[in-house]
Amino acid sequence: MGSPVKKIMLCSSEKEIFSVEEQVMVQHSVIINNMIEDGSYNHEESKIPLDCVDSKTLKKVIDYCTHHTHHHNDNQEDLEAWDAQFLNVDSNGLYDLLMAANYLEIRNLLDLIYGTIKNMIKGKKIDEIRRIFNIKDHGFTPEEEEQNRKEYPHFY
Amino acid sequence: MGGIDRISTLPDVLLCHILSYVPSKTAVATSVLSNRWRNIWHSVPAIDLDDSLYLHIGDYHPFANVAYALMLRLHATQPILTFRLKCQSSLSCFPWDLNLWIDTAIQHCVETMELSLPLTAKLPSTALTSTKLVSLTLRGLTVDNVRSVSLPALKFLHLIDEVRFTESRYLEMLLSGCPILEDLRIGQLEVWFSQPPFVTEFNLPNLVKADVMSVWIPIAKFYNVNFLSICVAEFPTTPECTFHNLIRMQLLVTRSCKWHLLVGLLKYCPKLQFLSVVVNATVTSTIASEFVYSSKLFIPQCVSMRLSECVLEGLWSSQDIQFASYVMLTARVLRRMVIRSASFLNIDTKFKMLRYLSLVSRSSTSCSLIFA
Repeated sequence: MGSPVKKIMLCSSEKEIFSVEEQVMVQHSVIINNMIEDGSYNHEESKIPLDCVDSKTLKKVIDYCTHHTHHHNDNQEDLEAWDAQFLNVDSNGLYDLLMAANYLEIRNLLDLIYGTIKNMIKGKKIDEIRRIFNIKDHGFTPEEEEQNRKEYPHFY
Repeated sequence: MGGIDRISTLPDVLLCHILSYVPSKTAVATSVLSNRWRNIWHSVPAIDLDDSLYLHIGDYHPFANVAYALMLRLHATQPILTFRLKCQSSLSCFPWDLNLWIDTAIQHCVETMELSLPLTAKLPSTALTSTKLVSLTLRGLTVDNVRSVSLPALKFLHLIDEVRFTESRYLEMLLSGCPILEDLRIGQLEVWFSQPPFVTEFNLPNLVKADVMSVWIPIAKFYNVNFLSICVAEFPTTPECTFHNLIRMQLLVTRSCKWHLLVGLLKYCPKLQFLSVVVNATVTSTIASEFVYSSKLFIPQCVSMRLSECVLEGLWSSQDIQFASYVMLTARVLRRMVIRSASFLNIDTKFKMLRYLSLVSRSSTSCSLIFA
């Protein structure tokens, strides 16, 4: 039998500890890869603190990396279907994932999120995008808003 | 939770990144989304112009005005990483407008450029001498009067849908000017008046992926690739090189299938795992090249040790069936054998073909046969 799978510990903003296969995170996260490579992570006692990532989001990020490590040979359609299901969250969920993926530098997850946000706003009118992003206070004065609507009626 | 706008609280750099994925039209429109978004689009390092978004609605600013507004507000030092220009209507702009926009993008150190233009548009010569360009995709336009090509950073070159080279040597010059090219795709180019040209005067040592239709390039030019998809009149005779990295090969055969030549070629592809042959030929091989499986026939190493998927399309002759049987009889790790018979065969012939093939004993125990 080979040696047991190497694990690393990740710690969410709620101080919850997640134990993950090292290989899974090294493959996807530039930051974690660097920590392992430069020896700043000690397998005996280190935990990687992720103060800006809550447990719910961290769990999803780990799911993503794990799936893409173990299923990278699946056919493209299956992977895309899985990704679509994975990102079936509201704009706040996307926000959390984007911040986490950006912090951990998980490039393929970032691309996936950007693509999803793109599809949320592409070809949409301003009023629709405001609804999708929950923009209630646009911060323009009533005069400015009126001026914009007059000047760019096709945007609204 | 559901009522809070958090996307707008993302840092500028991430919002910019999001806008670099949408058409410039949407990016500009976000300036009136809210105060937060007012100036974000100014720093987006991508321009994506598509005249079809401007053609139907009367009250839109004309396409060319928007394009000029976008190009002119650029700060001299601001890079454009991605430049996409799609312009199909001659009403949208003049040829000199297109040249000016493309030149501007080049001056702003564009790395990824995608142009979809009508055949009347000519590729400006500045686009062929950029030191920063990494990826170039062309659809439609004409390449003419090429004097020199120097694209030292170019890794991706995709010529899709009717790019017109007024002389075939311009294509050779283009390929010769891309010393580190990794990914080459040549789709259905606007066909030269006679035969597709032979294109030989170039060397692409870094090429990893080649997908070449509609021009004849000697197969040995692709000696380093791991993915090869080409169109050939018949299977090439023994090449002067070994394809050490080749994993996937797709061949479209247009004249005649001499299967023994394919067996000969496979000898030089030691790592091949995926083979696809589409037969678009209605000439049966001559007696001299008849392909019959026998135990004395040579078995290339890749067939017996590596081949895991084989797709054969357009099969009709007994030779074709013999080759399919040969693969099943000898490929020890084959997992999928996909066979599509030629569409002109009648149902009886197809049924006989299937019955014959399903009785061939398979060397690999986990091989499934898919017949259509």
